[in-house]
Amino acid sequence: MSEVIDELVVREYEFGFHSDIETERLRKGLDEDVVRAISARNDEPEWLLEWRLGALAHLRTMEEPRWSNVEFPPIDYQDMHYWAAPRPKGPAPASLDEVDPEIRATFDKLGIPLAEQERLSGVAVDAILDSVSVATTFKARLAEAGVVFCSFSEAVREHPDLVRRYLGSVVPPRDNFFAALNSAVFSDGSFCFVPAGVVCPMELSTYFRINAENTGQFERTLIIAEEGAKVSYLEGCTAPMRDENQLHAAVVELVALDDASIKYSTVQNWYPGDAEGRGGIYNFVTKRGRAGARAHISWTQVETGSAITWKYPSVILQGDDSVGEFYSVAVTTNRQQADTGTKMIHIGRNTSSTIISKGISAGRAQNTYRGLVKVLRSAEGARNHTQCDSLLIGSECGAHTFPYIEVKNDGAQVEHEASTSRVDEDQLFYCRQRGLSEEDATSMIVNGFCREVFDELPLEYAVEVQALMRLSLEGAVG
Amino acid sequence: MTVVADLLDRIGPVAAPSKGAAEARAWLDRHGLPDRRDEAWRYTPVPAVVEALAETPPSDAGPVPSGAVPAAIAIDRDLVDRRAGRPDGPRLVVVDGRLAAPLSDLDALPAAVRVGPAGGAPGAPPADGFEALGRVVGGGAVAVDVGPGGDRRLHVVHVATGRSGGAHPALSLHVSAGAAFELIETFVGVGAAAVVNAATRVTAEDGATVGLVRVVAEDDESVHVGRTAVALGRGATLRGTSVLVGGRIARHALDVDAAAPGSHVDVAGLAVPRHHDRHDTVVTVDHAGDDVRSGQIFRVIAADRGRGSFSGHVIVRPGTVGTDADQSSRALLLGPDAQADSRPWLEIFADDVRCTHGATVGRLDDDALFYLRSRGIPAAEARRLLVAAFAAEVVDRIGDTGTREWVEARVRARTVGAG
Repeated sequence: MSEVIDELVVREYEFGFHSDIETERLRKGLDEDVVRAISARNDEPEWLLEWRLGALAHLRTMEEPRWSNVEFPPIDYQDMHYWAAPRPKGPAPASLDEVDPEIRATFDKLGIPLAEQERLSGVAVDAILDSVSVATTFKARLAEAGVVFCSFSEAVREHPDLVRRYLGSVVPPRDNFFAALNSAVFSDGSFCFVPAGVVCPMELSTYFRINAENTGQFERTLIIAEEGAKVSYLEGCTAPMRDENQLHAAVVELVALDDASIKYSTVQNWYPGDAEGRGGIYNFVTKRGRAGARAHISWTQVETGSAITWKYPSVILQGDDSVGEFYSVAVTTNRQQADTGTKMIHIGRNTSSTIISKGISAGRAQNTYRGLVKVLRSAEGARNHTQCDSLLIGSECGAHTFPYIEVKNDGAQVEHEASTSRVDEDQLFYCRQRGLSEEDATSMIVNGFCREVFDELPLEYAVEVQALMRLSLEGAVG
Repeated sequence: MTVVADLLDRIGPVAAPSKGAAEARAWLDRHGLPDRRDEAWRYTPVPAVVEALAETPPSDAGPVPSGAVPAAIAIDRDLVDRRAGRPDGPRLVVVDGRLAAPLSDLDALPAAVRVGPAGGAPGAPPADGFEALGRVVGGGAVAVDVGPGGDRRLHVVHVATGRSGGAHPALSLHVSAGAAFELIETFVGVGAAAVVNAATRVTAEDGATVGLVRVVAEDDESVHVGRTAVALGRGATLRGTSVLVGGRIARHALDVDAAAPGSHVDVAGLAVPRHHDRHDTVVTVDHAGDDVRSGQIFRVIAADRGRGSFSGHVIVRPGTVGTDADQSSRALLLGPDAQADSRPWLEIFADDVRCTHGATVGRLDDDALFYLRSRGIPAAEARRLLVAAFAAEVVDRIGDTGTREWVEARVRARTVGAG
């Protein structure tokens, strides 16, 4: 086993191509002019520009945080472009057929054929290239149900009241350094509004792609489910292979009003860098949801990409009887680093949360689970169950678990369990003597290890994710 | 003026500068005292500790010569016995960090165990700013050197009188190869608010077996920050039990350096904060050698508005094999305002490991209470039984009967009526 494991093969990144799409970019650097220019390109109202400038002013008083268990050279925030977009060839497309064929081809290569998706799979897709949303499918059918699903910039134009009411209500611009950065320069993103009592008739999906060089991507996602509404949402991400590191600092806000339900799934496959750790995306993202009474927010994430992943999708359990869930698989190989986990803040009575985290570390990667379960004095009857397991493949990687449990109510019941080990020799032996190759056996065992999380993914993606996992670990497991 | 300089100025000279004081001062100037960004101190209110050190009433006695007992409060054997109990066997009494020979009973100590003032500067750098501070102002440490042989035990009773500038006892224990020894340290006060900043350093040579029992039973208004650093040789065994049953702020940091192969670490702790107490236990077991086994069992029983915190950190260094580490942390909240924190951390850089941890926080089990009551046991008695059982997992490890019963009584007194 060990000799096979030692033969770490360079893992190929399937989505590392670069598309020659004419791109328009703002000059490098971060200052008021750039923020004004971004705002102007999106044709934004005055209040939003003020909001951005406020965030920028606050950002200047903040220091980049360094407490995480990841290492990276200093980021020069003045040496990158904060806005890039495919150069428009005429007016905005009225339908998919009018979208630039090059862009369509890019998404086709990624396995996101927009038109086909529309016809066959019944999943509504919003595709975002670099900074700008290029196409949203299925709008008409969603509109019939009263669901708004569009790019963020469109939402600012069409539904300014909703945006103004909820933007920054869960992740305020001053929340943290990267949230402030995003608030100042966010370019576009996805917006979803599900009115009271409506069950969204289909899965929603956003596909993010960084294409241009030296560009940071700063999108913002805002999902609002009114009383009793229900929505399931999936995001996917890829980027070309480049030797330099690119910053991705997104903000995702979920608002689940009373009795609402939001399920948010992420398949994160940004370019992870090469075997020696050159290049790759820095994925520094703030994701948080606020749950009203009896509301339900569920985060599911499969993290296989990015040179560095640093994020904690969280739930503020504000309403009584609300439920928060976090299911995560984080795979790191080669020189990837991940510091990810969740925060469950119990405020309401009888709130409950479940955390299941599976970390897989191979090669020379470092994989950290960091999580906070906080039960406030008001959260009588709160319940939490946390399980975080780590699997080590190879002797040079690291797996770390940093849970924080803070309980201020004696009626709460909090449980945490964790384990760290390597792939079980007996299980491997058993599989091998049944004729499975070492790689198949390991792949099967790893899939079994992650099963509780994969079961939470929407059906459309469960199969894709298993293939992605196998690809990620190729070479690392023999 | 910096916090450190200001604090040293207020504390003033406590004793003639000891060897190592200059190095400690340089270390302190470089690193300072712990602050809010120091994760290991997250659950200890450092500003309150600093304030307590700075505000202890001005000393009327002036610098105390090493070896003398401060005259301000008359401390006799009766007082020590009343405060700390009187278990059998040899006893060493340390008052405000200085060895008090007249109060000690060392006649029964075997010849192979030598007790005296520590010679030379402490070899290891300070574990934190407070230990450095202790070296600057403490003046003189007690050294216990254990030669070959087994089945020996020494009680060290630390008495804090509440004198100005705090007490900064330092103790070093050296256990030679193959020897077995148990050190029981108890920390008590004499009714005055005291600040105690204690440092114990233990070296266990190859194959040695060391038992450490450490009981913080300071007075209600006292502040205690202590740390125990243990370095284990090849195949050495540590069995440590740490109990916090006193002090409005009580902190114990236990650092175990298992750098040599084949050592065995078995540590446990109990904290029982009540009133507005903040009790914090921080344990680090560093698996730097091969085939090291470690187990941690930590319990918190928080009553009233008490807040008990446990941080357990297991580190497995790159290149090690055969690591086995378990950690269990449970907290019992005995009232609506009690609080508990738990951080069971694993930091693992090698794959030949089997590491687990489990943590729970909650109140007494309603079913267990109901069961006992259905057998005719009154509610208060049922609760007392369940609390005692919860504490027993740790307290029962204390082999010395006198010490164990004394700790049991303190746990009972601190939890009676709560929950």
